[in-house]
Amino acid sequence: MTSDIQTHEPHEDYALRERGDVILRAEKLERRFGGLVAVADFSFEMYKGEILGLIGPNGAGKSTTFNVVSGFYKPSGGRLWFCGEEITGKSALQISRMGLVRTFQHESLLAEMSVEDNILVATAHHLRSHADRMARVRETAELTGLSGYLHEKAGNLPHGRQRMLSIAIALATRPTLLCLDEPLTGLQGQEVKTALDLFEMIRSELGISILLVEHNMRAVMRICDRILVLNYGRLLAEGKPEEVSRNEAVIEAYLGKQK
Amino acid sequence: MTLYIQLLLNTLQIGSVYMLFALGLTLIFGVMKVVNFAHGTFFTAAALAIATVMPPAMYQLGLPVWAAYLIAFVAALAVVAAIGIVVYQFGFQKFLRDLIGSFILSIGLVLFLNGSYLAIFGGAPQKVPPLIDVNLSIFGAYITGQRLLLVLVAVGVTVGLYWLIQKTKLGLSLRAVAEDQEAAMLQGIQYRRVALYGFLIGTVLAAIAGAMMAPVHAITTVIGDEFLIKAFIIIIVGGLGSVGGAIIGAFLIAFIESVGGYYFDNSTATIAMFVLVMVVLLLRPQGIMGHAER
Amino acid sequence: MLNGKAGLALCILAGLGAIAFTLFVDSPYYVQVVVWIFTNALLAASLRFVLLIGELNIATAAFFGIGAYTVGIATTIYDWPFLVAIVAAPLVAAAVSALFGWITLKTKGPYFLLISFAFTEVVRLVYSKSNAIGGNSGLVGIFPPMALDPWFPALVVTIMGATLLVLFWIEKTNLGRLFKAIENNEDIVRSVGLNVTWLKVLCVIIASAAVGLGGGLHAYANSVITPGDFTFFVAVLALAYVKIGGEGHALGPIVGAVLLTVAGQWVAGLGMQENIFYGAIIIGAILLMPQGLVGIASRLAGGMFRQGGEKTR
Repeated sequence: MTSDIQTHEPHEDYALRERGDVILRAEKLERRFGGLVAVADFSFEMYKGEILGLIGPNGAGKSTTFNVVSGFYKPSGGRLWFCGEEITGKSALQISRMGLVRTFQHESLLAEMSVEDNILVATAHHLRSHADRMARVRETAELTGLSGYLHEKAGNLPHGRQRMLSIAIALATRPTLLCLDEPLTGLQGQEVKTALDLFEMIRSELGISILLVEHNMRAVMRICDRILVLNYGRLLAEGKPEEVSRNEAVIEAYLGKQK
Repeated sequence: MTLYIQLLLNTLQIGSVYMLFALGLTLIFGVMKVVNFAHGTFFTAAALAIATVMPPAMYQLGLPVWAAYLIAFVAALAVVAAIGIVVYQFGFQKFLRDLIGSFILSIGLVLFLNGSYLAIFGGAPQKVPPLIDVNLSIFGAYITGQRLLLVLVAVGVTVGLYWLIQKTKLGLSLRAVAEDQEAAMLQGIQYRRVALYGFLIGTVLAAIAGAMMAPVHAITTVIGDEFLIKAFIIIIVGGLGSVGGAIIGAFLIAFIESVGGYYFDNSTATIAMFVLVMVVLLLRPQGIMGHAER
Repeated sequence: MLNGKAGLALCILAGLGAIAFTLFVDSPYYVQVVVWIFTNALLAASLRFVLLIGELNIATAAFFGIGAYTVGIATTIYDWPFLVAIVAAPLVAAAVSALFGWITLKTKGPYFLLISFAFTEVVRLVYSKSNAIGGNSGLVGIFPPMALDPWFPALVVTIMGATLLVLFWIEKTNLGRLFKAIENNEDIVRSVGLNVTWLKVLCVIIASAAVGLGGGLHAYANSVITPGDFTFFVAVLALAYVKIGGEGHALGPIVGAVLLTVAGQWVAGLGMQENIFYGAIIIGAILLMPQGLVGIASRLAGGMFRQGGEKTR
């Protein structure tokens, strides 16, 4: 077992044998845009049932990482595994069908369609009968507090409800891993609390792991089990919230930014 | 050997008209995100203006051919610019960045303008005398002086356009708007005004092509539309909005046309071009030089 | 009135009226106009069907032509029976559109628009160059069986009407919802495990099969077809029907087709320049009523018919 580590040979189920419960693993992930290196040498593991935070100053490569993991960008280098299976270079469609489903930061819903249709579309691949689909729609709307809005046009919802709907769309597929791209942006005090309660419930009741990219530092510190900090496309620090918040390099990166 | 030089010369002549035509289209697309099916009508208007102004200037005013052509040329540019301004102010301005709306408008314009040209000028093709009545021979291959002039003007105009886009303040605005309209507006660029300039430059390019083509081609009321499908194929291959792509695409398509047209016929050459487009699409959906679109 | 069961009933009633008209009115000209209206409505509905996924498919004209040429070739060259030929038309159109869609639907927006335009013109060139299928002069003598002759316009109108209903129905199903979702935001559709490319191709296949069938019937109804009947202009007029009727509602293209076909006949009668007329109508319509007639009607009727024509671009 130690020989694996020493030779650095990538081994598909190395992580699974070692930990038994790794759901997502990245090894030396890299993404370039022309000459610009957005993410480099980024390795991490995520465990089943975890709420993992991915933070960093603006332009640190969070969104890029997110897009690479969900297959919307191809990695320029490195490898990725999801549930023990290699997903490097797989398409967004293949990855989402394996149960890794993401939300979007902007244009995160089908604005011209009703709330009900938004969620219904998300069930189309996963459930066959219309009755099952409608049951899933009702259940998901209940969870996300949208039951009273099913027949509203999604684009007409207040901002907070729109954020909930974008989560509902991903949730309706019942993923194994839910990747949330800045879900709290623009939410007010009580709405943030409701959202965090929802994330907690998604994890505990539905057994879905969550990868959270978020700016709201207080919320991240509160809800995440572990946090990865990116800076200039590289992993700066990793650990439990209290460890990360005490890390000098992290403080410097953020304070330097906040001046 | 002579044959190859002749085919190369043909490519050069055909390609330079295509280049002017396609540059206008791609510029308008880049700045306005409008696919202008009415582009050929500007070309036609310029050719018709030459056909209308040149004969009376020569025969009634007794001007020499070059002076008559020069007057007609200026008139052609003025007419086309005027049509361009009207069409922009009352039409396209409302459909900036609206692909389907602007497409419909441009189709309506094609029908309306071509119909009007036909009603005014009639269906019979017209001819004007050439400016330079000499044939040049290069290693046994022939090119008329008139067509050589056309090639030189096209190259000159393209160099000028390149300078304008790369070196002037207007060019910077055009590039900024084509790249990211919202960001450009945030930097204080007045989008509507820049779009108008972009549109006018595009129409004037079509007018120059039409005015240069008039002395070497029978002038009909649909002369511009013959170039439309080729120009579209050029900008698909070259990438929509790409200036370099339009230039390379124009000569590539002209090469296929002159070689294919020599060994087979023009229709076969057009079909071959379309097959080329399909292959390009399979390999590189964003065109030869276009920016990657996700 | 425009949506739901009542709207459907109204459409079916109008369709039955048209069938009765072709059976009992003794003027070949007026019967011909009714057939044209249905042909144009089918063209417009097919074009609008691909607009559901947000793409403007000029090749609607090409697939109309492919259906017509399939019937023309099957009847005049191979002597296939009517039933086989009329089934072959949508199948061939669907098969070609599957290949076309598979290659071209990797692109979207302006690229797809231009490629579908080029495809239409190139297919027409292929007809013109193929002497085996009549080259520029096309195919003549495409007749339905003698026994069907007195009923033929009624049969054409019935099949075209039924095809319109099928397109209308598909739009209302879950599949139609997925098409609209793609138009809204295809990244989201992809992110929930749906194969966007395949759905787009499917949309084009359905629309092309419908318009291919229409083309086949057109070939029989007209008995002569030439390459010049299938220029991109056919799709442009179809788009005009959609725009003038209003694209927000499935009825829009039908309303537009009826109005413009009748108006076109009227103008042709006046001996006016047809193109100037169509050009002016199209320019006027897009400038003055971007939502179309059905959109305006819906708005006048207020909140009752919220679905129709509400969409702004």
